Amino acid sequence: MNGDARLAALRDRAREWGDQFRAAAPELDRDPDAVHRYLDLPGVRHLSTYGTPREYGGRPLRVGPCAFEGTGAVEHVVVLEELARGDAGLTLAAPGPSMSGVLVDKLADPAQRAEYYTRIVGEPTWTCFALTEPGHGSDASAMETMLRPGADGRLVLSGRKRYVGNAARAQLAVVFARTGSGPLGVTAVLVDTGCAGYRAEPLDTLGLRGAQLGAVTLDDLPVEPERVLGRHLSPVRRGMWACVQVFNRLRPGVAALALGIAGAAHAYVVEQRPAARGAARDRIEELGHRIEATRSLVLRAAAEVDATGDGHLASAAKARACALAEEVTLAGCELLAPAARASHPLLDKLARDARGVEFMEGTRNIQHLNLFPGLRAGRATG
Amino acid sequence: MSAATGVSAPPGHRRLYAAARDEGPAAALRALLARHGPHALDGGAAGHAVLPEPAGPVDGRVLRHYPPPAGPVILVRRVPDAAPPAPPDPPALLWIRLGLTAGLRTATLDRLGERASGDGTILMHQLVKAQAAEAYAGELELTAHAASLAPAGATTARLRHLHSQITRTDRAWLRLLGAHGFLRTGPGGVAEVSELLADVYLPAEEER
Repeated sequence: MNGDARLAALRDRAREWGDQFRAAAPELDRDPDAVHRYLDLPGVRHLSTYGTPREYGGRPLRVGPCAFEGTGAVEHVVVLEELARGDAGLTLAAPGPSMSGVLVDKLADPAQRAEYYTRIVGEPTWTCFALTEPGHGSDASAMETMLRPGADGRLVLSGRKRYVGNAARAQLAVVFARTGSGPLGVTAVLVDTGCAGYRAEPLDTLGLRGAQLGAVTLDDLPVEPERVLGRHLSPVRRGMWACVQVFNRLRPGVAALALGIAGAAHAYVVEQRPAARGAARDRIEELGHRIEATRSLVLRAAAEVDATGDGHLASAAKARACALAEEVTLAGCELLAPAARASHPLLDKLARDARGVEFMEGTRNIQHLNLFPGLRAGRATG
Repeated sequence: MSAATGVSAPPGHRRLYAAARDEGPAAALRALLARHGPHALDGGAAGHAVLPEPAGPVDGRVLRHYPPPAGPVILVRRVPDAAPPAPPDPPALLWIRLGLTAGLRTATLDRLGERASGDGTILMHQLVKAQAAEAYAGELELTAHAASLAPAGATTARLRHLHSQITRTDRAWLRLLGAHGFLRTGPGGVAEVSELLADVYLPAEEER
C-alpha cells in the first residue's frame, strides 16, 4: 500500500473516532470532568499511549494491513485533524503523553523514559507541559520560574505557570524553569504533581473547555536531581534549543486541531444549508477550498518536520490554520444567521474553540516572526 | 466622543456608547431598557433575547449565563407563542457594540502597556504597534460610517457589514491580548457578549 493509501486508511479510522468525540462534546463543554466518562473511547485510548516506544509497552496502531508506530508528525496531524473535527476539547482533554511526551522523547535519559512511559501505559495518566508564565507568556528568555539547589542535595522549584492544558488533572508535569541567566539557563524537570508544593486551578476559558487550561503554583517544590530532563546532555542541547525543537514538532499538531475545527464548522454549515444558492453557496464552496489548501500546507509542514526537524513550514501552517478556523467559524455564524450562535450550540462551541488554538504554541505574531528567517533564507519554499 | 477621534456617537446614543465603553454590556443593556422600555430587547430575530440580570420575570427559558465583566447577562429563548415584539433600535445596538469595542481597545492598550518585554513594553514592539494601529483604523472607519448613517440608509445589508467588521476588529484586539483574551472573565468575555448581540438581533442576510 502506498503512502497516500496508508494515510487515507488512517484518516478513515480517525474519522470514526472523531464522530464519537462529537457526541461527547456538549457534555465536556459544560463539565470538563466528564472526560472520565469517555476514557474507553477508541480515540481517547489511542491518545492515551500515543507515541509510546515498543520497548516500554507501546503498540502500533493497526488499520487493515497497515501499522502506525505513532512516531511521525504526518500520521499525528491526520489523526488530530479528524479527532478535532469531532471535538478539539476532548482531543486535548485525553490522558497521555501529548506535548510532554515530545519533550521526554527529545531529552529524557533511559531511566526517565522508563519511569514516564511505564506510568503512561500502566493506566490513563494525564500529563501537562508548563512553560507559559503569567507575566511573560511563552517567552522562555523572560522566564522567572526558578530551579535552585536545595539544602539536602535536592533541587527546589518555585514559580507560577498559566494557561497550562490539563494542569489540574495531570499526574505528571513537565515544568520549564531557569537555573541561570541566558539561553543555556533554561531547563525542564519532570514533576510528580502529587508532590507537596504543586497546586493547580482550572481557569474559566471561553472555549476548549475540555482541555481545562489551568494556573499552576510551584511553591518550593522539591525535585530530585535525576528528574532534570536531559541531565545527560550538554546545557546547549537541553535548554532553549530543546524548546525550539519541541515546538517545531508540536506546531503541525496544533495546526491540525485548528483545521479540524474549521472542517467541523464547514461540514455543519453544509449540512444545515444543503440548498444554499448564489453568494451563500459560493462562500461555502470557497471556505471548503481554503480548508483543502491549508490541509495541504499542514501535511507538508509535518512532512518537513519528520524529514529535517525544520519548523518554518510548521509556523506557516499553524498561523494559517488558526486564522482559517477563526474565519470559517465566523462565516458559519453569518451563513446560519439569524441567531446562529444562540440556536446552534455546536457552531457556538466551534466559534469559541477556534479562538483558543490561536494562543497554543505561540500566537500568529510569534509564528510570523519564526517564519521570517525562513523567508529570508529561502527555506520555507524549499 | 468616540475613539478620541472627533467622531461622535449621535446625541441620542452617546449614553449607550459610554455605558458600553466604560461599564460593559450589562450596563449598556440596562440603559437601553431604561430608554426604550422593558421589552426593548425582546425582539431577537429568531425568538431570543439578551438581557441584563436581574431581568425580572422572563417570558421564556434561560439558555446561558454570562458572568462579569460582560454580565451578568442572560441569553433567553422566548416562549414560541409569545407575541413577536418589535426588533430593538438597530443604531442603538450598533453604538453599544462600538462602545464595547472602545472599551476592549482601552483594556488591551492598558494591559500591553504594562507588560514588560526586553527594555520596554509589549505595546512598544513594532509588530504590536502596527497591529494596534490597524485595529484602531478599522474602528475609526466603523465609527465614522455608523455616525454617517441616515435612518433610511441603515439597511440590513449595511448593518450586517458593520457588525461583521466590529466582530473582526474586536478579534484583532483579542489576538493582541494573547491567552488573557481567552478567559470568560476578562475582555474576551465582553467581546463574546458583543458578538452574541449581533447574532441574536440581526436578521438573516437573505431569504433561504
